[in-house]
Amino acid sequence: MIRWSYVIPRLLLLGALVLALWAGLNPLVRWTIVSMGQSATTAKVEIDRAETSLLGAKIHLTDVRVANPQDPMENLFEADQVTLALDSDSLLRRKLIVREGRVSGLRFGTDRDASGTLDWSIDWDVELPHADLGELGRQRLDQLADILKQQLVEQAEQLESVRLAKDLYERWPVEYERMEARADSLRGRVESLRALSDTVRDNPLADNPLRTLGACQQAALELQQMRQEIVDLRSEIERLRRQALNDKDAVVLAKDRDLEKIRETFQGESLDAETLSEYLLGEELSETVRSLAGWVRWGRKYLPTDVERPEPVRGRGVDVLFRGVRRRPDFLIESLVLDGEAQLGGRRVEFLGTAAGITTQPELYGRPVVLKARINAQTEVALEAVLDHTGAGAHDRITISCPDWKQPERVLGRPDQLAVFVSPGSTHLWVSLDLEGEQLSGRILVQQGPVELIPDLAALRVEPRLAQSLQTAMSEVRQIRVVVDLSGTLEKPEWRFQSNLGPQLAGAVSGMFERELDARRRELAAYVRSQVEEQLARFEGRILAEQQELLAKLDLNNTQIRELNQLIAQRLRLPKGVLAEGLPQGLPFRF
Amino acid sequence: MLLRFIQPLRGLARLFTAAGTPRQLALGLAMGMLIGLVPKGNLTAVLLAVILLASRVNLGAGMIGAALFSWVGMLVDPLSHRIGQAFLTHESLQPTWAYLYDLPLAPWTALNNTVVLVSLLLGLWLFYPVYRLSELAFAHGQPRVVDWLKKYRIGQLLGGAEMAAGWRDP
Repeated sequence: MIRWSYVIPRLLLLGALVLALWAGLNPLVRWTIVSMGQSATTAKVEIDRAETSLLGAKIHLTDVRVANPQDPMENLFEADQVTLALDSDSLLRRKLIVREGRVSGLRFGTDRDASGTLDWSIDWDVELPHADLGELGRQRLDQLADILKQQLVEQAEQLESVRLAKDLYERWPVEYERMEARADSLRGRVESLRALSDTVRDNPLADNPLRTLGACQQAALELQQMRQEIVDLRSEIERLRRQALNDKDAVVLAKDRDLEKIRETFQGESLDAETLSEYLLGEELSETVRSLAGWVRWGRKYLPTDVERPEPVRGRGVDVLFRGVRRRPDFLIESLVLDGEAQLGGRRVEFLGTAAGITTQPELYGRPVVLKARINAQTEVALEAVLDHTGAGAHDRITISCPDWKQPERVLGRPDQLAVFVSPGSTHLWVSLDLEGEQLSGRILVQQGPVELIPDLAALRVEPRLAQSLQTAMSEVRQIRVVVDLSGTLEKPEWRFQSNLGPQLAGAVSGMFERELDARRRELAAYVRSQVEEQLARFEGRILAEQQELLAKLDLNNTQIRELNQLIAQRLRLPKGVLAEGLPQGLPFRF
Repeated sequence: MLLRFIQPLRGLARLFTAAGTPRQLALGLAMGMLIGLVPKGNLTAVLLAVILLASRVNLGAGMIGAALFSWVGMLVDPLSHRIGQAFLTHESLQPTWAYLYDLPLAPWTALNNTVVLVSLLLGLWLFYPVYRLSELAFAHGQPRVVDWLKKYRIGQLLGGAEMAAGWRDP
């Protein structure tokens, strides 16, 4: 006999349990996926609806949004629908294996209404590698452009000899003006003394020498001082003469140095093909390498490798793996179809792709993650990435092929230096990267044709004739073909350029630069010579004139002093020669 | 307010008085012991808990047993691990273990864990002795506890109406 008092409560309990499972399964699945997603990304994961079918072992998610931890107002990606078909047999064996799935309406980098940040302090930043690969070409062209962009006069003004010659011409007249002022002052004093002498002579008591003795003694003293001053002035003139000679020699030496410097500076290194190609295409391709390396690093951060996996910490016991049991990863997506939109070259493009082998334990799965995508827009882009993390180190291979990339008109190089306008056209882009551990190897192939190249040298102020010759050389280039061999490490990639642009243009550009530099060198040297020589000639002429004028003044003063000397001696009735009258003779002043 | 504080003590008192026979109490305690010894978070522990809930045994005794033997289980873990290691890695048993592990739901049971397996075996081995000994203890101890509770006012407070009904119908 059935004891209903025992059975009914237990049936009710079982019923409640089933009901709770039926009602709570979807929220539980949604909560589990959100928790796992947030734990992995450290940003908000939102799912509008989750539907689970236990019988069909299927999970269907609607409106999935995963915030970008680096930019909380942006989604890392969002998807309209996610359908995952689970392997029920694996589920019974504690493995979550997605046999096949489909992610529809996948979009990257969409805007969010609310911040997607979580208050977790986990560093999500992926530092982009240092890959300033166009630096060498840029430095060389920078040097040339700096020289060519300057005006001749600006360049000459910076030279030492020109500066010294000007300084000499401006400084010396000031010196002579100072000397002239002293000579004029001396003349004034002579005049004053003469006036004093006349006063003494006109004095009725002048016959009595005793009465004019005081004034005469004062005049004699004054005369003595003036004589001394004339001596000083003459020696000062002599010093200035020597100084002027030294300054002139310094200007001549500076001129020689400047001419040598001009020769060295304008010795333009010839541009080889690689440098020129790197200058023109380096920036464009450097960005491609940087982006790819950044994505690889991002992927590596979140795809585990055997090396990085920490041993699970268990409080109680050890899980023994039996011999003969096939080891399989706990989580695996065997196949996933992806469709959605992506941003490429500033345009929204639709893509269709597949992802296979995404697992938390690649070493157990033994096969790499394979991502394939095909973009069908105006052009077709095929991407294939094989991310092999099954061994001790990661080995990633990425291939991008774009056979018919429609390029708009673009500028290679820099408009403020040497730039080349490239006409719109079809480009074949092929990129292959192989990253074993940190070691990078790979190749980028860019081929564009037919193409028209127009050089822009406006900023360099080269002669129109030379610019025309470069344009002619460039007009012969009907195709751009660049092969870039990559090496080095992920952190610091290196490359080697091979391009048809280089050999075809390097000769023309180098020749143009060499001719332009040679012309500039000769022109500047001639300008410096003429400037310095002209300044020195003017200097000599002016100094000579100033010196003669000054000496004439001093001679005049000397004569006047001699007359005054005699006059005072007569007044004092002194014997001839008592007052010193011997003055130094005029000094030669010639260059 | 006071009743809320003494509610756990009333539950304990009820365990020894009204809710079940010494057999049910002993079965509950033995099953609780089994659950307590086995590490949680696996299908084995869930199944044991379901059996406990679905059986006509004393749940209170089961919970006390589980709580008590969880501590005991922690103490014997090192020993369990060593024995489990010997069992699970034994060469001749490998094909058997591999076959069992490959069965559906088997990985959820965590019986490939050294401590889970030995704790379960230890619990099963101890099940009957614990049951027998505790049944004897409850059979002797239950009337004494009831008498003691009857004597004191605190017993009446803890027992309340339900206990009084139990006393009327031993």
